[in-house]
Formats: sequence, structure tokens, C-alpha cells
Amino acid sequence: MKHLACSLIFFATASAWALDLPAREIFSRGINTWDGEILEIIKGRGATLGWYISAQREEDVTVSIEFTCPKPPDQEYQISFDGQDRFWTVPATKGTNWHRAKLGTFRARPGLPLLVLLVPPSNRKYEHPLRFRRLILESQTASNLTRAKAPEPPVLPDAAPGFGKKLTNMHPALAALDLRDDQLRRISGMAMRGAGELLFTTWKGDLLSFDLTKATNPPQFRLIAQGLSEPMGLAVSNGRLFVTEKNQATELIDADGDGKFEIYRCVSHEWPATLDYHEYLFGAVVKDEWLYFANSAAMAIRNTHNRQAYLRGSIIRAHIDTGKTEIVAGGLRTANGIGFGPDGSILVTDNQGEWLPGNKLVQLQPKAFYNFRSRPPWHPFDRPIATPPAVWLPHPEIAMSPTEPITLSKNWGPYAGQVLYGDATFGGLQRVFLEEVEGVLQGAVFPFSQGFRHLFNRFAFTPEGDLYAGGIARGSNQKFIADVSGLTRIRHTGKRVFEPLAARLRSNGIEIEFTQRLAPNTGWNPAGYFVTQWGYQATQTYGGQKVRHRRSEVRTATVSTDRRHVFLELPDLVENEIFRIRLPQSLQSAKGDSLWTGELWYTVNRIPKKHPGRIQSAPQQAMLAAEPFFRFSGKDTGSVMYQNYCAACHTLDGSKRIGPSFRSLAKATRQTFDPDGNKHTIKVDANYLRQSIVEPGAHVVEGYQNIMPPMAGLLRESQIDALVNYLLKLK
Amino acid sequence: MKLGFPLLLAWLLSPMTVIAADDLPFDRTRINRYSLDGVVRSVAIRQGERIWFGYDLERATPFKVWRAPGERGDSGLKRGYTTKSVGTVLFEDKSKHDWKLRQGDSEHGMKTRYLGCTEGKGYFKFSWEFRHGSRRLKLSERVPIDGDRIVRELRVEGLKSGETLQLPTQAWKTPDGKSVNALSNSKWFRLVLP
Repeated sequence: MKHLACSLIFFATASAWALDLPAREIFSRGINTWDGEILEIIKGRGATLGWYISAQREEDVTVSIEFTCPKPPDQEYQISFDGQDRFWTVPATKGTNWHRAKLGTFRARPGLPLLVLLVPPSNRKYEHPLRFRRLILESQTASNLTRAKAPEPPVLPDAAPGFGKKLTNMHPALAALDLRDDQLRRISGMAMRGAGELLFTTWKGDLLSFDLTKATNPPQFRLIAQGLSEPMGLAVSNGRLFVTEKNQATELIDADGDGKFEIYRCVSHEWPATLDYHEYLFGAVVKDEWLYFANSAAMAIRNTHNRQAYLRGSIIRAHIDTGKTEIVAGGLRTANGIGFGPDGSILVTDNQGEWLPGNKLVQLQPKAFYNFRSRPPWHPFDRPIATPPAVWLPHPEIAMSPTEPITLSKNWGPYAGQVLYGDATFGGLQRVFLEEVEGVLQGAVFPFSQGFRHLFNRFAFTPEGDLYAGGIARGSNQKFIADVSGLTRIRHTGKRVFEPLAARLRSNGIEIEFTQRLAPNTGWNPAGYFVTQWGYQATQTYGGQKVRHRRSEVRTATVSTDRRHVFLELPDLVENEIFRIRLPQSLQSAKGDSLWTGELWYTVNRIPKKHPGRIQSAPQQAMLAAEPFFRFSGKDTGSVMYQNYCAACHTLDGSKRIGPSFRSLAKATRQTFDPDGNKHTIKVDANYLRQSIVEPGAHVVEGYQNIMPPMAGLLRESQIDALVNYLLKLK
Repeated sequence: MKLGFPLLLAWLLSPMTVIAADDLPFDRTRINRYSLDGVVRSVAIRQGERIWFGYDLERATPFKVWRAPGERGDSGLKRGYTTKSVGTVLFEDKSKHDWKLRQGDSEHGMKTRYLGCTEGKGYFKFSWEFRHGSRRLKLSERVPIDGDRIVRELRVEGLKSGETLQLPTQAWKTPDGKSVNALSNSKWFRLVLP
């Protein structure tokens, strides 16, 4: 990461060709305040200091800032220009005159609108504001750069579960059995020992055995080890047990064969650690005698100095015999899931947040850097252009806290070889199809199933293909945690289900494969596919940005001869963007089945050069549509916003989850605490709700923790309005 | 569906909760592996009813010994995912001194690697490896669980003739009150807190 030496120029001579980006034109100010045309910045999180520009030709652009700051923050600002990031150490200024500092020189590309972002540091408030008036963009070519209107996010069609909204029910081809006893079991690691014994660890530090050959319900779990330190991963290799504890990878050894583990052998702890609550070792897989796991980043420090211990956010491997330890990859944030992908590759999930504008599924590659960072000293693998994920898992559309990925066994019918992952907040199971394009892994994520009691964190397959899934939760609501934590057996019943199965990128579009043949003369009308696309901009504050979020043209739709595939011609394919494809609920299979879900997100890392999809003229009768494929009433915008952004933590029925329920919210009275600990009595109205969305920490409801991220950087004003109106109308 | 009595009785008697193995090692009331007193990689062990040892695993040495208040020995820890010692401090080593290898007149610092811990019958044992160049020494330390005085036992393997392993602190004595600066052979050394 390039670090800027600040050149401080007192009103430098302006270039002949300069473009102003005034403070007043930013997307959102967060909790920062206006003084006329001046933005007084005290905190980064929740604000989006951004503009779009466009360039007619490619050339270098120098970006400067006009500001005053007598007492600078002790953390750097991020300046991003079309995804190119630099850091700026703010110098102290004297007097009230405006100062100008050069932030960097960037390459502007012609064509697409380019996002320019100024990102203040971390989540900490600074008592002394940086007063900011404008950015100045200087180039050599007259009128090459112009300010562009921020693209309005596309108006989305009305939604239903599985079609623009989170699923609510269990997949028709799954059968689930909850295996609960009367103890709290927050399952943190899971593995099979032999064919008939399931082992799992709990967050509090127990290791339990479940004899699947004598499975009863209520289950009889046998405690076989205890006293582990916050284990978050468990692996069995040739009968040996490995646990990834908070600060140490450990082998549990039963030397005398009495069934008790009396030796806790330290395989490795060769990396720095602190007392931060969020420093865990996530996941555990053994491959070729090496134990792989992730050491997660600290989180409490975000509100203070924001310094990570060196090498946090790495994938580490330790040799199970010698203890030799190596850093495999860096730039992970909360990589709460490691599993084997197809062909023995290792897949890792990561949770969105700072430097992660979305959740991710990455394929582990040696010396890769996945983009999370904090402050210098940088990770040894840090680099300006991060290794892209195999699949983005957009937040909160299809993931919020993704957990372990697991490759489906051959007993899982059409889904065999695909990857499932759980989610400790969003819930359910999501399904990923992966393909290699030009040597790079990418693919699509599909909603698969909700309707489970537990929030799944870890998985293990039996040889027969039963999937055991362990749930977990965090927070202060013990009843909620107890309710969603525990063990579930999931079985694929083989029942026939109609849904999109896979999506493959072609040079000129995407081919969607279905589990069944489409009904004759259906699927041909391009109006039956609602497609949007965007890129991502990572920011050092929580959230990040969708860039150039827009509706995509679907030029043609071609149904294959076997009617199992539809090729969508997409003329605006762009690398490093995500396509979200909605199918109409009216689409039916040849057997008359309706779609279980009609949505997918495809990550375009590479566009295949010589692999076009087949385009064919539609039969005349196939283009007729008795009624519109999609409706755009806008009436459920608020409910979709609630479902996507709020429902994981706030119920509508009065029950408590991580946050307070929204039942009877309008005009209700809330006891709250401000950041200084002062108690307030607040009547819920539009202003309070808006503030709670933009700055959740301003008034935290009594009995709950201040853990909600501010949403101002994620939502447009119109979306916040829709959400507030929806909440005020709740009964 | 009606349950017959034998079936009902069996159901009532069936264990609903965990079947606990007897005497499972690493009982948290005796051994706590969460971070203690701000030392990230540490272990707390209870000796007897009320004496607690706090070990710094990266320095390979106890950094605190304290007596728990009250009758319950496990009251010596304020618990959570990080723990704090509670009670009367009997020994504390804030020096950050490490073990040293003495060869003749020269002393060498060594890279310390924690190898793990074992709970055996009546004792708790730690193992470390020290490295100096190609040299490797193994340090074992036992804490008797039911000791009637504050006692620990140490043994080093791999020393050559004329070499000694210098202790980080000289606060511990032999049972007959002699000072101990170093370990000089592969016998077990018994040290007590005066």
C-alpha cells in the first residue's frame, strides 16, 4: 500500500484544467456537520464522502484537497480513485486560511463513471474536526473530466421469498431433525471420527462425542474433553484430533488409550496475539499433514487506535508433527469458515466490514492478499490490488455472517459437488456453483434454504450423506442464543425441485442451468429476466460501496434444445462486477413445477475470451406474455429493506433477538443510553428511527449492546425513507 | 400414543444431558486455560485447596502465585473468556527475564517454544523447548496438584557438561531453603516458595 508523503501547499497555483468536487455534493455526511459549504469531519463510519466523475480519454489525474486541521487525527485518511487506494497523513495547519495538499496521482479510464472517495479513519470520533471544502482534480486535457451524476440504484421489482427477498421456508428436498438436550451448545467445531462418531466443540470449551450408531432423540452427547480455550475449529486426521483454540493450535492426545485426553499438545502459537475478544483461530482442516486455520482480526480496537497485532487476518498452516508454521495468505477479516472445495482446494469465507464491501468466498492461494488491513505495519502480503474472491456474497442480500463452506456429497442429487455455507446471522444454507474461467475461479451463489431453528456455523458429512450442522450465536440475549444454537441433522430426500442449478459465464452473457426442463415456449423473452450489476469499492471504514449499481440490458434469451439451459445475452459484461439475476415467479418446468427460488448472484472475475453463448431467435409464440413478468409497485420497498437489513436482529412479533423487537414501534417509548452513559426516555418517531439507522450508537435501547453498524453509508436517502415509513406503520 | 410403564421409566431415567466421563482432565475448577491477568498465553493451576499458579507460556515460567479468598479454591479466579486472579499475591514476577543458557562465562538468550501440557495423576505438567542455534533443550515443569506447600518441580534435558540453564528469577528455593540460580543436570529439581 502506497503511503503519501504530504506536500503542503498554501494555495498552490491551480492547473488550467481542474475539476472541483465540492464537499456539499457528497453522498452522505454521517454524523459529521455542515458549516455552510464546509464539512466538519469528526468520524468516518456512516459517512460516504464520494462523487462520480467521467473521463473522455485515459490520462493521469492529480487529486488535491482543500482543508484546515489544526489538530490532525492520528490515523490516515483513505483516498480512492476508481478503486486505486492511497493513504493521506493529515498535516497540522495553522490559522484559518485554506490549505491544499496533494493526495495522489491516479490513472483515469474513459467510459464508465468513476467513483472518487475520501474515507476518514476508523470508527473513532475525533474531537477536533478536519474542515473540508473540496477536492480538486487536475488533468492535462481540457474538459476531459466532468462530474457525473451518481447512478441511482435500479428500482427493483416487487419481491417474494426467494425472489428478491430472503427465503422463509425449508428447501422442499431437505428434511431436518434438531438434536437438542437441555444444555446450551454453541457449536464451534465439528468433524467425524470414523464413520459413526460425530465430534463437536462448543464455544465454552467442551469436546463432545455423539455416537451416530446409537442416535436417540433427545441425544446422548458424551463429554470427552474440556477446558479448551474458545475453540473455533476441529479437525480429525488419521484418528488424530486437532483443535484451533483462541491463541493456539492444539492436538488432543489420549496417550494411555483410556478415552480421556490428558495431553493438550501445542502444535503452534507462532503469531502475535492480544487480549482482544475477537481474535480467534477460525476453522480447521488438515491437508497433506498441515493444519490450516485463520487468525481473525481484532475488533475492539476499531473505536480507539485501530492497530492490529502483526499478521492478524492471515491464513496460517502448521505442520501437525513438527509444528513448523507458515503464513499462507493475508487480508482476511473474520474468516469464520474453512472447508474443502471441489478437487481438494481450500475455500474460506469472510465477513463484510472494513475493507470488505461484501461477504466473500475465496479460494485459498499461496501469498494471496484478500484486502483487509488496518494500519501499518502492513501484512507482508499486502498489495494495492487484492486477490478477488471466487464469489462475492453480497451483504445483506445473500449473506451477513457466512460460516463454514462444505462441498456437497454425491448423495445430494443435482447439487453434488456444489458448495453450501451457513450463516450465523442471515441463517439458513446458501448454495454456490463454482467454475474456472481463464484459470480463475468464479461462480454464482443461490439462495437454498431457510426454515431451520439453528444458525449454522460448522458442518460434517457422514459417509451416507447426512449433513450434521451446528448452530451458534453471540450477543447478550441468552434466550435467543440458546434457541438458535445446537445440532441439526439434515438429509437430502431426493425430492424433485425446480430451481436454477448453475450459472456459467460466456463471452457474451450468462447461461443458467435449471434442475428441470422448462415448459415449452417459456424462458425466451428477455423481459422475463431482471438483471442488475455493480462493482465494489472497499473502504477502511465499515461498509464499502456498490459502484455503478445499474440495471443491465438483457438483449436476448435463448433456451437450449433440451430446455434445461437459458442463455442470457448481456452486452455490458464487465470484469470485477457482480450480476444479480431475477427470474419471474411465473416460470414453470415442463412438469408444471413452480420455481423454488428465482435469484442468483454471479461474480465476474474473468470473461472467457472465446466461449460465446449460442443466440437463437425465439419462436414467435414464445415471446408472448399474458401479463408482466415483474411488477414495480414500490409498495414493498420498506418491507424488503427490513427483511434484508433488519430482520436478522429485530423481530416483528415482540420476541427478543440481538436487538429490540419492532413490534408496535410507532409512538412507543424507549429507555435509551447515549454514548456517555446518560439515560433518556425517547418517544419513537421518524426522527428517532432515522437517527437510529444513521447513527445507531447515539441512543442504544436499555438492555442491548451497541453493536449495530451505521447504515448511512449503505443506504440511499430514499431507502432510509422507505424503511422509516414501513417501521412507523407496523402494528 | 400411550407409553407402557417400563418404557416410560426408561425414558425418565435416560440421561437428557451430557454423559460426563469420570475424572476428565482439565477441570476448570483446577486448571484454567483462558488468558490470565493480561498475559495472552497463560494458564492458571490450583494447587491444593487455595493456592493458584499463573504461568506465562511464552516465558516458560510462573509469573504469579496467589492464595484464593474464602473456602472455595475456585474463587481465586474472576472468570470470563479472559480471567483475573483474585486473592492474596504470594509471588509475582514482572521482570520479563527469560531463561538463559550459560556456557562457561557466556550467557545466551534462547528462543522459547511451548510444547503443551499434561494432566497426570496428581500433577500438572508443562513442556517447553529452548533453542540456541542448533542446540535444543527440553524443559519440563510439574506442579503437584495436592501439594501441601507451594511447590514446583523442574527438569531440563539436553545440557552438556559444564552448561547450566539459568532461571528467570531466583525467588524460588530448594525445600531446605537454598537459593537456586540454575539447573545443571537432568534430575528433577524441587523448588518451593519461601
